[in-house]
Amino acid sequence: MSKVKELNIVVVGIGGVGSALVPKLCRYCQHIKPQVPVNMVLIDGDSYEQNNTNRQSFHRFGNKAEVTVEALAPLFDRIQFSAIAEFLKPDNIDFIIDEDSIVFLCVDNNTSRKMVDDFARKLKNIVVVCGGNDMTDGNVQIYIRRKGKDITASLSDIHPEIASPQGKAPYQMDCEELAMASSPQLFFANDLVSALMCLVFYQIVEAKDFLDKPRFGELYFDMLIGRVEPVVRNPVVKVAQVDRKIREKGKSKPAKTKKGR
Amino acid sequence: MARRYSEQELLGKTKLGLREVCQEIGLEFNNGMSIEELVKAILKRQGGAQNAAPDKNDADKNDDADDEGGSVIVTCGASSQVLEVAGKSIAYVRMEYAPIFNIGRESKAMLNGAEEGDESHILEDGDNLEFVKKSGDKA
Repeated sequence: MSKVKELNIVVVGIGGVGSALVPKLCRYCQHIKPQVPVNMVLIDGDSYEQNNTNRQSFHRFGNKAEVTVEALAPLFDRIQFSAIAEFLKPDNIDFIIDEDSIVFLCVDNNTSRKMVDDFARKLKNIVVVCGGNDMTDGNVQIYIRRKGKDITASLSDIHPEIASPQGKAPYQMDCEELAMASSPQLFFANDLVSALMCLVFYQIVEAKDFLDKPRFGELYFDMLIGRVEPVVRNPVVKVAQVDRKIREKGKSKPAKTKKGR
Repeated sequence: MARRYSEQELLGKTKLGLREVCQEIGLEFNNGMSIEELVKAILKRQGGAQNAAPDKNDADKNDDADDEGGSVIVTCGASSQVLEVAGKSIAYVRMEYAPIFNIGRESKAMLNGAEEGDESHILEDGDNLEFVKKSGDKA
C-alpha cells in the first residue's frame, strides 16, 4: 500500500538510463494503490538519432522528452505527463523542480548534477536520486531533505568530482561538442542503474520511514564481480556549524555564571 | 627477521591475509593458488616447519599482534571486505589494497561515515573505512 498522497516526478535526462527508467516508473505509477495523482515531467534537449538504437527504444526520431511522452501517454492514462524539450539550466530549473518533487537525475555530467544539488539545498522537501554508470559499474546516490534539513548527505558532500565539476553541462555545449560527448556504453549497465533507481523509488513510496531514516544513501554496483553494495550516507556536519555550536555553548556558560552570582 | 607462522595459523587466514604473509617473507603471491597451496608454499619458504610451534619470542610477538589486531570493514564502490587491518594506518590500507579494491588515487577516505583527511590515522577494531568511488560518468 502506497504511503504517498501525490507524486511529482521529474526525470532529468532521457538517455540510456532515463529512457530505461521512465517506462518502469510509469508502469508502477499506473497501478499504484490507492490511486494518487501522478505528475511526471521529462526534460531533455537532445534528440533520438540512429546511433541511439543500441541502448534506447523510440518509435521516431525527434526530441527525446517529447518522443518518449508521445509513446507512453496513451499507455499510462493515470499519469499527467509534461515534456520539456530543453536542457536543464539555471534559468529554467526553478520552474521545473519544485518542493516535494522526486527528481531522477539521469545525466552524464557533473556540472548538471552540481546545479541540481545546489538547487535542492534551497528547498525544504525534496528527494534527488542520481544515477550514473561507466562501462560495467556505477552508482545511485540519494539526497533527501525534509523540513529544511538534510536527511542524507548531498551529492557534492560525498563526491568531490560533483562539488568541483570539470567540463560543461549540455546547455553550455555547441552541437559539435554534444556529438563528441557521446561515448560507448553498455545497455545492461544503463538498465541496472534504472532498476536501482526504481528500488529507491519503491522505498520512497512504500516504506513508512525511508524518507526519515533511510537504510542507505548510495548504492554501488559492479557487474564484473556481481555485487550491489549499499552505503549509509549520513548528513555531513560542516566544520563551521560545529564551530558555531561550540561558540554558542561557550557564550551561554558565562551568562549562567553571572546569573548565579 | 620475518616471523614464523604455524600451519594452523596460516590455514586460519584468508587469501588476503596470506598475501600479507607472502609480502612479509618475500614470497611471490599467486592469486591462482588455493589457500592450501599457498600455505604449503609459505611453510616451504619458512624452512619446512610444517608443525613449527612458535618459540617464546614468537609467542610474545603473537600476543602483541593479538593486542593490536582486529577487523575493519573496508569498502570501495561495490567491493567490501572485512580485513584484519586494525592497528594499521589508512594510508597503508590504501596502498596495500588499491589493486584489489580498485581504489583511485583521488578517492577520499571516510572513516565511520565521516571524512578522514589524516591518512596516518590508525584504524581500530570495528572501524568502517570507505574509499569513496567516483560517480559513474555516463547515463
